[in-house]
Formats: sequence, structure tokens, C-alpha cells
Amino acid sequence: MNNELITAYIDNEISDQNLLIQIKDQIESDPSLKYEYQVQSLCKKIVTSKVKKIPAPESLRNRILSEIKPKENIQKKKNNLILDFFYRPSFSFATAMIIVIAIVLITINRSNVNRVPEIDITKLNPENMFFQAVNNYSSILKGQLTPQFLSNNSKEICNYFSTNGVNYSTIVPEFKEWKLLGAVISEDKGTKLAHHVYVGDKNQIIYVFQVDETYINKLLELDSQLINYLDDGNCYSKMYNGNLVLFSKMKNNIVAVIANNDFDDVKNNFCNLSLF
Amino acid sequence: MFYILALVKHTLLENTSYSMNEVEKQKKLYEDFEREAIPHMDALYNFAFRLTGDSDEADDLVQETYLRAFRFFDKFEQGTNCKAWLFRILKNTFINKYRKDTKEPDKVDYEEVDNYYENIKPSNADSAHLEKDIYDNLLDDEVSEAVNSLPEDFRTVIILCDLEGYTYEEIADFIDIPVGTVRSRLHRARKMLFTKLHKYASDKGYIVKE
Repeated sequence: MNNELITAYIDNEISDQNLLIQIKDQIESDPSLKYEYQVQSLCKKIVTSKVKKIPAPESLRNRILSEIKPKENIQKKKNNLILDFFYRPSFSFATAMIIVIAIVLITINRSNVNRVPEIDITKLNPENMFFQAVNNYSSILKGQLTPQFLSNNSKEICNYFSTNGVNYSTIVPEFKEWKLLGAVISEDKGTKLAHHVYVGDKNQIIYVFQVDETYINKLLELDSQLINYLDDGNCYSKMYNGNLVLFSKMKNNIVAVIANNDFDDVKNNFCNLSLF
Repeated sequence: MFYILALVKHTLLENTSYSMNEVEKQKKLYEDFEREAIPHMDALYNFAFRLTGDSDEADDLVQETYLRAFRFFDKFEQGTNCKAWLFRILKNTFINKYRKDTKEPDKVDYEEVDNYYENIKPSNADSAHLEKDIYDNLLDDEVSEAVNSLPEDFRTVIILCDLEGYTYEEIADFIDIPVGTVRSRLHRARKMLFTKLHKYASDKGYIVKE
């Protein structure tokens, strides 16, 4: 019997009554399993009784609430002050010019905040996710990389990932434009990574490589400006060698998508899937 | 120039009414957020404290989590699991803030844990060292220290399951891993914790070596 079932048994996570009885019997008859049971339940009891819950300080609660509280009165006052200013005699042509220049400068600076990151693929390391996605796509087109698991069902593909060592939640959406072809699991330094592929009627091949965002900087590299850009809810796209390379964030995953056609559909479909 | 001024004035007047609508919208968002998200602060703070091991850092982490959540609250689907959503933001904020410079994940010497575990396994039915009374002698701080010294992934599941009492499904949702991984991490985490507690208890003389 898998010893992990004893852990689930202690935590009341076994709903199957037959399995429950089976585990109970085995614990009673097998000294080694009984020992596992005693260790696991002892640890649970010790943590429950000895580690104290620490409530959030009241000051923190108040600070957060005051930070997010809408500043209604201040906003009203500010607007009135601005309007009063325009009725004053000191408001001159020079003042108007200063305001116009200031607005232009602010607009320029604001546009820099959300600037699309510049990525030069020739300078990327093999550990870079962008580099790997482009390389994998090229291998798919050359027929050097083929799906290990063939299915057009997103649930089956997610299940294939989770039962074959991919230790993060994967998202495999279905689209009316393209059919799912299958999935590949790659391994990098002992960690399994998820890839899947869609095909269209006109030889469109759409490849998706997704990793949990915690793997970035630990296992894979990715430009920090690009990560910030995605964190802000943006979708990044770039044409490379006639293919569309797109980066997006879906829940906790960073997703790289590469396509050889249907660029607008790819952008619409994958960028609109972005969830915080 | 007069035309420009008139235009600026007109725009400002329009903006005032626009701002008023915005204020109403913000007020509604604030009220929803206060009702949906703020009640989970104790659970989040406790989790943050156990993750960082420091009250100031836990304060910062929870504050950043809530400010970030509020920024995106208009995109949050009302009626879905707000607590799970907040835990995910906290975990991600923790990773981005505290682990950005660390390339290597926590390394665990499983072999050492397993060897120790096997060595203390009783050869007969005698399992006196499994009596809870022995470990009751340990101070609360010593047990907390043992929990805090577990690698982050394992510490996380112990806190969420044994301290907060969440189900495997809830934990899987909070930290975005499959339910099976929650179970296997918990199994290993408790084995690791037991070896630590056993070492403490032996060093203190609560367990007599044969």
C-alpha cells in the first residue's frame, strides 16, 4: 500500500468507504504501516497543539484599509482648486504654455511605463524561455519533436501532464479555429515541463509552452522587463522568422505561444485568456 | 488662446463629473473588497508570518498582497473563491519579493532524512518514542522553530493543513498544485518534521537512547 494513503487517512481525505476499511485493517495488521500512522498522526497533533496561530495586528488592518479607501473629499477639493485657479488674474499665456508642456512631458513618461520590452533573440542564453520556445517550435516544424501523447481533449492533456510528473497546474484551452494535437513533457534539471500543440485546417501549427512563474529565475530565464510587462496584465508579441511569438500570463503560468499563421486569432485568443 | 482656455475649462468641468462617477465606482469597489477580502487577513497574516519567520516582513507581505489584490479586484470574478485568490497573490508576492535573487530552489537531503527516520524506527513493537507526552516537554517555540526550518514547499502544506485546517482540495487551489502533490508533500513534510522533533527531544534527554 502507498504510505501516502495513511497521510490522507489521518487527514480525513479518504471518501471511499471500502478503501477506508482496507487502510484501517492494514494499519492494524502491519507494524511498519502502524509506525507510519503513529508518526504522521503524532506530527499533526504536535503542530495543532504547539504552533500558535498569530492574528493580523489591528494596526496593519487599519493601514491597509486607509491605503485603499477612496479619497472622495480630497478629490473634490482638488478639482475645485484647479477650477479656481483658472479664474485668477495671474493666469497668463506663460502659465498656459507651462501646463501644455507639462501635460506633453507627463504623457511621454506615462507611455514609457508600459513600453513593450525590446528582446534581441541573438543575445539570449539557451536557458531562456523565449529561446527554448523558439527552438522547440523549429524542431516541431522539422519533425524532430513530435507529441508523446496524442489527444484532442484538453482534460486528457491536463491529466497527462499531472500524472506524468508536471508539478504545476496546466491550462489547455480549446479553440474553434484549431484542434488540439497532443502534448510533450520535457525535463530540465529533473523538473518536468508542459508543452502542447494545436493544428488548423490550413497547416497552421500553434505551439504552447507553459511553466509555473516560480520556475522563472530558478530553472528558466526570462527578461525581467518582459516579466514586469506581463505582470501588469499585458500580452507581448513579436514576429520572428515569419512566426508570431507571443508571451502571456494565464493564472500562475507564464505561457509562450508560437504560431505560423492566424496571427490575429492567436493574439485574440491567448491574450484574452490572460487571468491574474 | 482664449479658445484653448475655454477648452481646458470645459474639459476640467467634464472631468469633474467623470471623477465623481469614478469616486462612486471606487467606493463600491472598496465596500465589496472590505466585505469579501478583508475578513481573510488573519489567515493570510499567519501564513505570511510562517513563510517569512518575521513579523515586520509578514506585515509588509500582507500589505503588499492586499494592495495588489485591490488593484486587480475589478477583474476578480465575484462569487469565486476569494480566499484562494488572496493566498495565490500572497504566495506569488512572496516569491517575487523574497526569492527573486535566489536561482536555486530549496534543497533537501532526503537521503539523510530517510536514513535518520529508518534508524529510529523500532525493531519491535516498542515505540515509546512515539508517545505524545515526550514531545509535550518541548517548548512551543522549539516546535515552531522545527516547522519554520522545513523547506518552504513542505512548510507551506503543514501550515495550511495542520495549523489552518484546510482540505487538500483547498490547499491545491491556494498554491496551485495538484491534490496528489499536496498529499505527497504532507507525507514527506511530517516525516521531516518528526526527525527534527526526535533530534530535539533526544538532545534534551526526553528520549532515552537504547
